[in-house]
Amino acid sequence: MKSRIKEFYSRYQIFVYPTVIGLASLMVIVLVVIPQIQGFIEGQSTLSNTTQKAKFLEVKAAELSRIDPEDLSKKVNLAVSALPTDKDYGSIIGLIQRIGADAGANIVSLTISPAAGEKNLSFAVQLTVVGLKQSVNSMIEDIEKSPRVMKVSNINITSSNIDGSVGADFVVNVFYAPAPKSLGAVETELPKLTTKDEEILATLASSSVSEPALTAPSSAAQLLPRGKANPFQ
Amino acid sequence: MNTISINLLPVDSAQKQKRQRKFRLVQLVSTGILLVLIFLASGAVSLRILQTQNIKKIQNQVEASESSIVSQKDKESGLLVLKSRLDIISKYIGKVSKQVSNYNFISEKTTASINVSSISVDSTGTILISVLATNGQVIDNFIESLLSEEAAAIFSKVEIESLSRGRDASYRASIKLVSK
Repeated sequence: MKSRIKEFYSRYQIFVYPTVIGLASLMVIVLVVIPQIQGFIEGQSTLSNTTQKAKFLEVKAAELSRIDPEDLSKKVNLAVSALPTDKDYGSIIGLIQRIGADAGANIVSLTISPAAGEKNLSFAVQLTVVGLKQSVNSMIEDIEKSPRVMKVSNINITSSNIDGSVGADFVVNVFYAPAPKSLGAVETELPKLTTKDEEILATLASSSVSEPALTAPSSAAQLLPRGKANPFQ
Repeated sequence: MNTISINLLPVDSAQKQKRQRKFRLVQLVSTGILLVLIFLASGAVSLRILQTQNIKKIQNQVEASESSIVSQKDKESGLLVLKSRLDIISKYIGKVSKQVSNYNFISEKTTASINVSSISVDSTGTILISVLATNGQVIDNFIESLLSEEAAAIFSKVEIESLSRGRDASYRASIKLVSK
């Protein structure tokens, strides 16, 4: 058998040798070269994506480390005071009473109607006020300018001929916004404060909203809802 | 001088030598191709190894950045809360509502000689005003002021719902101003 193979090889070696080499080459191409080149091409896109991600995360981490935690905390407090995470009826009653007292108007009644306004993110406060016309006008203006976000919706003023005082009924829409439920993935872009945002913060800081009665939670964890928004429900 | 060359080798041996030469050539070319392929394959494998090392290195950087971001999650969440709140606040702060703006406009137009009995502003900004004046000219002037270009920019319609003269010679008017 061996001698027959030897004889066959010596007779046809000119064909057998290149055939064997060709098969070996084909195997090298199919098993090594093609998979490696395919892997390399795929790897290049992975490398490019990972490089982009690394650059993005590096920039984000650097931006985060540049943020002064105390300054941010102050700004968050201002924003949360202006637009609380829940209805916070207590503070709004105090604030409206203070605005009324500052304007010289006498608040006769104050009724809170839950869940009025757009997307249920506001509630209505119905006020009955008595006072001089200037006082009532001043109160309306102060409510509109209040750093706690609220707007006068309906106004009904009747004047008395006896003492020049007016009686006013008006509805104030008070806004709030729940805290975001998710804080986003690591790959989420960091929000940037624009000059307009800084101006709003400066306006809020210059106003009287940051008085003790309206102090805001100091950390993001404290922004989560605290029990029932409406104790009467 | 002519030379005579005689090949004394047997014909078989000469043919065998020719076949061997041909085979060696084929062997050389085939082996060369195989070696080139092996070189290419080893090159591709080396590139892949280098690439994998690079990817691992960058992935380590990503992990380091991620852990740095996670450790500063408080700042990120604070910033998100701040930005979302500021976006909403910007819609309202420094802006007077339509109702109050319309109310202020009508308040400016009511002079001392006009006695306002009542003003009501609804949620659309539409105003219903009842006024009283001792002089018909005053009422005229007031109505004219409500028909000015300035008023036309705010109100789409001015309706005089009622106009009467009382026994006491005072004029009473009830006017509806429909907001734009």
